[in-house]
Amino acid sequence: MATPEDSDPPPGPVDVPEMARLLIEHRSLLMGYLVSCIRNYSDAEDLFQEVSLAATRSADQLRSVEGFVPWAREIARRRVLAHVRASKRLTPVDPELVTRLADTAAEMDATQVLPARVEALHTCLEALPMESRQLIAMRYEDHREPVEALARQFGRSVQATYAMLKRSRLLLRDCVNQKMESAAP
Amino acid sequence: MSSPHHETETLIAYLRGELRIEEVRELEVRLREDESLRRSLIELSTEEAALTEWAKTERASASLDDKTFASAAIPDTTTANSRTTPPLAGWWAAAAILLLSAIGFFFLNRPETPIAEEPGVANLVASVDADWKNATPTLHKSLATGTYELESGSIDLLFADGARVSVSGPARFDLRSTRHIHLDSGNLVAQIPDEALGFLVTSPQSEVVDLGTEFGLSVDDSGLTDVHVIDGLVEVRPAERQDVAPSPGIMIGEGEARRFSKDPGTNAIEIPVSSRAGLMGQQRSNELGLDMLRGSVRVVDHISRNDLFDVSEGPNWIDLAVEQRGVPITKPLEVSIDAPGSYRNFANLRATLPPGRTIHSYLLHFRPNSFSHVSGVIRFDQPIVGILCTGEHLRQTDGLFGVPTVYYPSKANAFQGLEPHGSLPAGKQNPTEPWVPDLIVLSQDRTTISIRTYAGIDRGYDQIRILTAAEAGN
Repeated sequence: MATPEDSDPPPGPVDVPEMARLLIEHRSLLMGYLVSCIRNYSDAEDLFQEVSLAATRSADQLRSVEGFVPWAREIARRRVLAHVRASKRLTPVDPELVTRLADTAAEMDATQVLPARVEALHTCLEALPMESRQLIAMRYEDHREPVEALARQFGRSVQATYAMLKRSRLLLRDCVNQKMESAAP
Repeated sequence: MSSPHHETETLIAYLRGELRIEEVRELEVRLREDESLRRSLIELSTEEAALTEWAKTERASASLDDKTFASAAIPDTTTANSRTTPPLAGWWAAAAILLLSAIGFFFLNRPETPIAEEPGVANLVASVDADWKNATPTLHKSLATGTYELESGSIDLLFADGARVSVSGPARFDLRSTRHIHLDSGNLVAQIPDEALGFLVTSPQSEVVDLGTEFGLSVDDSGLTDVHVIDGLVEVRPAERQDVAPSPGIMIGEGEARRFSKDPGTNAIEIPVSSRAGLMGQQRSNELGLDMLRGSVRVVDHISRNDLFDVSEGPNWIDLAVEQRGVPITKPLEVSIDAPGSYRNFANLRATLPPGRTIHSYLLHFRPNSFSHVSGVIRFDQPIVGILCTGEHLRQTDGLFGVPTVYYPSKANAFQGLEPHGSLPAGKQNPTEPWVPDLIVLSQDRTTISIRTYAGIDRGYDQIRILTAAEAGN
């Protein structure tokens, strides 16, 4: 955990540009939490927008840059619960699980494991074969795009495309795990 | 799940909404109980989000590259061992869009509730004759996680999100997190604002997930759990089913109550619903000479200076503090009201209580946190002999009936008593809830007082002192 002495910007009120920078820097962490709760990328992006607005509006409440992630995740948790309520539970989202996931993520903040994993992931993407990387990029650029469309673009069968996506994703997972293990003290 | 890969695939399918509903439920049961599985899910969801961010930047760059270099991908000569930083132009374009959106919608969204950074799990905000077995929590201080035993009396706990839980002794409960209280035995009433949606109350037999409401929980020594929904809607899941099969739970609506037994095969049965007062220590109220409390009235043992001048959190309450008991009246005492009837104008009310009586005194205190009315009904077990509802009458008798646990203002305050005037400026009113005069109704048998009061946020507080006979025939 960063201490006041080694943190980049000094603690103090966070202005709107700084809040935008923090939201962008930690977007993956916050989106990850939202996706884990509601399991729908489009809805998660909508909620992230709401979280961004709320965080920007409440920027003066953030006491220090180091406290941004837990602070913003708490806003996200509230937004998820409001979303659950507004959707009248049509989406099977468990409010208690939402809270437990927030608690688990908060515990993970202490070791900075998530930013480290994101960094490792970027490195692992570079090591991925070109075709796999392109396929992953297309798959994740638009979550709604059916695999059939990707298969057509790549000139492969649907089954082969599924298999390649699965293998590439597991390769990335293993690569990140290995980097984390080798970096562990 | 047999292998790490299989687990990864299942979790990714879960995140992408590709699992069947039965599989989702089975996985969520495990996720609730297994922290390492939750860690894996958080890791994967963060990676999935990072991949999505990367993909968007990658594709945008590819599109730019297409135009510039007629090439479809980022050059493969990038240093393999260095961190790939997404192109700055892409990030800052995203930042600009984000900021534009933020400014555009800035005034369209309701304000975010400030996030309190409170230590501990919950604050002890009220305590009435609380007798603790294993701890001595301090009023207005936070309580840490752990097990607490309240042998008698009652307390109010305020959690960080605004959930307020009243516990009536004897009771044994665990504070498990800022959003979870477990009741082993005893009674509680929980009030859950929107901000605390999802607040969890568990008992040995059930798990109550609140959906924005007020409900009571009663757990007896034999393990029966009664759930009373006073307002709103709750979802109750029998505790036994957590490890066996996922359950959608039972929804209980307002004005309903169900009893859950220890036997997992037994259905919850409907029982008569209890009110807040019914759940929260009728015995205690009786000891204080209170037969019945209805509406937004609660008994407190403490009114601080802050309670007079600071705007509190949560719903509006009329606080009832017990003052001196068994006070002999040795000389004529001026009061505002001494006869049954309805009263709306309190400016010139005067009556005299003759000497010779012995009386109990109660102070009602109302400090609003929003422009709204609050009303309540209190029935005493002895007749009311006098009501003091002007600042002058209150101040004259603070010394005679006051108690050390209540802060009394030392100088004249125009808004200490009920509003003496017949109107309130429009700017001081809530447009959706117009001001109407304060009202007191004393029943013909003198045992019951009904109160409706309205104090604007900037107009101080309302107080009323009620004097009852100390015993029958007095």
